[in-house]
Amino acid sequence: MKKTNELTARLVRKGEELWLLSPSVGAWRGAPTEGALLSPGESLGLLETLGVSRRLLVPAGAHGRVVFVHEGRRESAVDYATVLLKLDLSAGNFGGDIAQDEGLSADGLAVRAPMSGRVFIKPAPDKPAFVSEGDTVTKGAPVCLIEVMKTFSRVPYDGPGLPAEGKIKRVLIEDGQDVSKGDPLFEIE
Amino acid sequence: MFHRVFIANRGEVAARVARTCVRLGITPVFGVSEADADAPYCRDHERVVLGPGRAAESYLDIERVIQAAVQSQCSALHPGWGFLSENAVFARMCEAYGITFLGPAAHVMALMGQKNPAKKAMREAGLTLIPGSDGVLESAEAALETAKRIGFPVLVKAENGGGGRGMRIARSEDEVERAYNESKAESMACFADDRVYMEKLIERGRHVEIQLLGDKYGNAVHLGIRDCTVQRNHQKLIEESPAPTLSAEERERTLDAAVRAVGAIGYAGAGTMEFLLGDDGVMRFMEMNTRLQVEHCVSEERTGIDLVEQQLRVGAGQALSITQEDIKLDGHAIECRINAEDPSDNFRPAPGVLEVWKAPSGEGIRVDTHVEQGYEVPPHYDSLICKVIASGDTREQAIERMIKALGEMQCEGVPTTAGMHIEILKSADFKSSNYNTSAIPGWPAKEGGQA
Repeated sequence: MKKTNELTARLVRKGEELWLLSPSVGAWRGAPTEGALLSPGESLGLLETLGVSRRLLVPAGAHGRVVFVHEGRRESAVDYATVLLKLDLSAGNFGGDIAQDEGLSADGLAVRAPMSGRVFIKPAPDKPAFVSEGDTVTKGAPVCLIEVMKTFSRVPYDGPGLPAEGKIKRVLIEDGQDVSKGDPLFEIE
Repeated sequence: MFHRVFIANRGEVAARVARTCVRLGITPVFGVSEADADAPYCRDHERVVLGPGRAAESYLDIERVIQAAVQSQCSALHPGWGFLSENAVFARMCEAYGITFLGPAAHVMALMGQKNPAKKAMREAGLTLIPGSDGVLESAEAALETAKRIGFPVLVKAENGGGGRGMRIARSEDEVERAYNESKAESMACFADDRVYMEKLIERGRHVEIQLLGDKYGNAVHLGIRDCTVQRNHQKLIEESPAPTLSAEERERTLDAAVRAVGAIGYAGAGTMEFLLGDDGVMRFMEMNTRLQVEHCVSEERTGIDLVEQQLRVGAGQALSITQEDIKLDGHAIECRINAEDPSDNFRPAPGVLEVWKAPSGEGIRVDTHVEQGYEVPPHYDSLICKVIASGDTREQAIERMIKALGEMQCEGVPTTAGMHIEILKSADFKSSNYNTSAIPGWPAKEGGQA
C-alpha cells in the first residue's frame, strides 16, 4: 500500500458533515477551494512526506460541497488525522453509499469483545477463518483471536442472551481491526 | 545545545526524556499515535500525531517519524527504548535529514547489532566471552565439533536474531544436528537469515550489566554495575546496583575492559553491556544495548548523574564533563517495574482505566511514570505503567523502603504486579541473593504466604 503515488483520505461522518482526515504526516498543498463539489476518486492535492509527493484522493462514500479547508488552503504541515476538509452533506442530493459513523453496530444478538485489543478472524495468516457467515456455532467454540499487548487469547462463542447454539448472521469485523471492550464482533441469529 | 528535541517514543520513557529537556530549557515535541494523543504527558506540550494506535503505522513508521521531526523543526531526536531505538537505518536516515540521532553513530550501532562482529570487538578490548563457535557455523558437522570442544549443554542461536526466537538447546551429541537444523529453519522464518552460531549454555547464571557513557572524542566512563537477575521470560522485573554477588576483583577487571571497549569502538552516548555471571564468578559478555535502558534510573540514583542530560550533551557535540574520579557510587538502589498485568492469571496483560491511582513517595523513593488517576492504559503497547526506585545506604534499607512504598501504592481498575514484587522482596532467597535467572525468588508464594 505504501510507496504508491496515491493515498486516500480517511472519512468520518459528523452529523450533517463528512470530514476528510489526513492519512499520514506531511506537507499538504493544492487543496480544493471552498464551495467545490467533490466525489470519490477526485484529487485533494498532494501530501509530501520526506520529499516524496503523493496524490491525496477523496475516499469512497464522500460526496459533498467543501465548507471548510484546513489553514484556508495555504500549504501546511499536517498530522495524521488532521481534518483537511469538511463536506456539507445537505448541500446536494448524492444518494449512494454515504459513510456511516465510525464504529460498529449490531441490532439484536452479538458476540462482543471481552476486552479491548486487536481481533484476528483466522488462527494463523495462512489458515481459514474460525467462522464465516452462515456457520452454526456452539457455546465455547472459538470465533476469533484477540491480541492485547502482544498476548493472544481465543474468544469463544458466548455471551449474555446468546442461545447455546447460534448462527453467524454477519461478521462485523475485519481481520486485524482494533476494537474496544463490548464492541459487537459477530451478529448472531 | 538543541532548542527543540523530538521524542520518538511513548509512555514512561517519553515522559522521562521530556522532564530533562524541560529542565535544560529545551522544548520537547512528542511524536504520538492516535491512541496516545491525549496522554497526560503530552498535555501543555507540542505533539505531532503520527498515525493510528498500531505501532507499525505510527511509532515504527520511519518515514512518518522523521517527517514529523522535520516539520516540527526539531534538530535532535530521542528514540527512547524499544521501537526504533536500535534501528541503524533509522539512525542513518535521521542524520540524512539533518536531525541528530541521540544514540551512537549508525555504523557503531550496526556493528553492535551483529552478534559475531560485536563479540570480536569486545574480545579485542579484553572482555571475557561465553565460549562458542568462531563465528557462524558452516555445517552440522562443524556444530558437533564446536559442541565437543566447548562442552555440553550448548545453545544454537540466530546471528541476526533476538527475543529468544531461533534458539535451540542441545544437551548431548545426538541432539546437536537437530538443534542446528531447527535453529537454522526458525531463523530463516523469523529473520530471513539462516546464519546461526553456537554458545555454551550457562544455566543458573545471573544477569549483570554495565552502564557506560562515551563522547565523540574517545572519552568514556562507567556508572557501575546493575544486577537484573529477577526475570520472567527474559523480561526484567527487578534491577539493582551494586550487584550483590559479584567479587570486587572481577568487577574492577570487567569495568576497566568495558570502558576501554567503549573508547575503542568510538561509542558516543549512553549504552549498556550485558553479561552472564556464572557460578565461577566470571562475567562473560553477551551483548551491548545501544540505547537508554528502562533500568537506567538505578545508576542515576547512585551517581546523581542524569543520563538523558548526558545523552543530550554528547549529542550536541560536548565533551564529557565528568571523569571516572568524579563519579561516586553511593549506597544501594533497587528498581521495581510495575506492569498492568495479572500475576494470578499467568501475567495476563490488563489494559483499562486507572480508577484510583496514587503513586508512593517517601525518603529514598523515586517514581518514574506517565500515568495519573483516570488514565486509560491502551491495549496496543507494553504494560509498564510505573517504575519505583528505592535507594538506601545499604541493600537492606533499600529493600525495606521499597516494600513500604509498594504497600502504599494505590491502584484500582487494573491489576498490577506490585503485590508480586512485595512477595519477592520479602523472600529469604531475595534477601540472601540466592537466586538465578532460571526462577523468580519468592514467587509464586508458597502455601499460606499468598498475599
